[in-house]
Amino acid sequence: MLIFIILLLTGFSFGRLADRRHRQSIQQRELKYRHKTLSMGKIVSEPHKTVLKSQFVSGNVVMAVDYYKQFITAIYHLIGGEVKVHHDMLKRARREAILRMQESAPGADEYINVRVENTPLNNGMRNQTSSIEVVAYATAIYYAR
Amino acid sequence: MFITNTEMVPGKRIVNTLGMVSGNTVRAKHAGRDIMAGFKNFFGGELSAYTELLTEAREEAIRRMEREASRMGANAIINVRFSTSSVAAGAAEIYVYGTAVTVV
Repeated sequence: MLIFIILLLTGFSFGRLADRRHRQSIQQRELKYRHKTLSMGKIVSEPHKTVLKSQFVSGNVVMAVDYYKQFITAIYHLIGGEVKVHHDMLKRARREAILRMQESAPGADEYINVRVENTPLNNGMRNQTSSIEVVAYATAIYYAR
Repeated sequence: MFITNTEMVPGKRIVNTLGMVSGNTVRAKHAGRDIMAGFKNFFGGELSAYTELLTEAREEAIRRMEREASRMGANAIINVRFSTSSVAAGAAEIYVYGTAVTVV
């Protein structure tokens, strides 16, 4: 019981701290790519320009589902409703994956056909998801100047 | 080699479609990393060991796909898709596939 409470508290406190730090880092890095188009479509947004180069880019991130989050989920399992801890984590993971994708081709003018997928990973444990991978991929477009 | 996940290579014209190419790899992480990741589960946050592993696995799968395409004489792969699944305990399969074409 004591171990359980300690696990819960460490998950809660360290998790909170790490989450906040992560969110700040994402916000800061996103500023750099704010003016670049991310499009789900398959065609370039400025067809009158000549495309110099196109490149396949991807970015991924694996996020842990800590014990605090697992505990909260178990409670929500009883009462139902939106599980906000996961909602926040997945949102951050997606933003991080997209950012890493953009950072792998920082000079590109736009990113077309963006796809985001997530895969639950069970770290050797059956029937239990302890981490989630989010991967974002797209085609980076470089226009001729 | 041009690789895109769109149906064409922007700024190029497809002259020949050669067929489907794919590459896959199954990776497991060594126990030490697994244990460290287990500790990370107390605190939450990113599991960078796994992120790295999967990034490397994807690169390897793409390399294998490229090799297959160049054997066919292609100079571009279009419509590339990723697929991930955890096959067995502690191992993940990365599968990447696309259409090999020649563009001018």
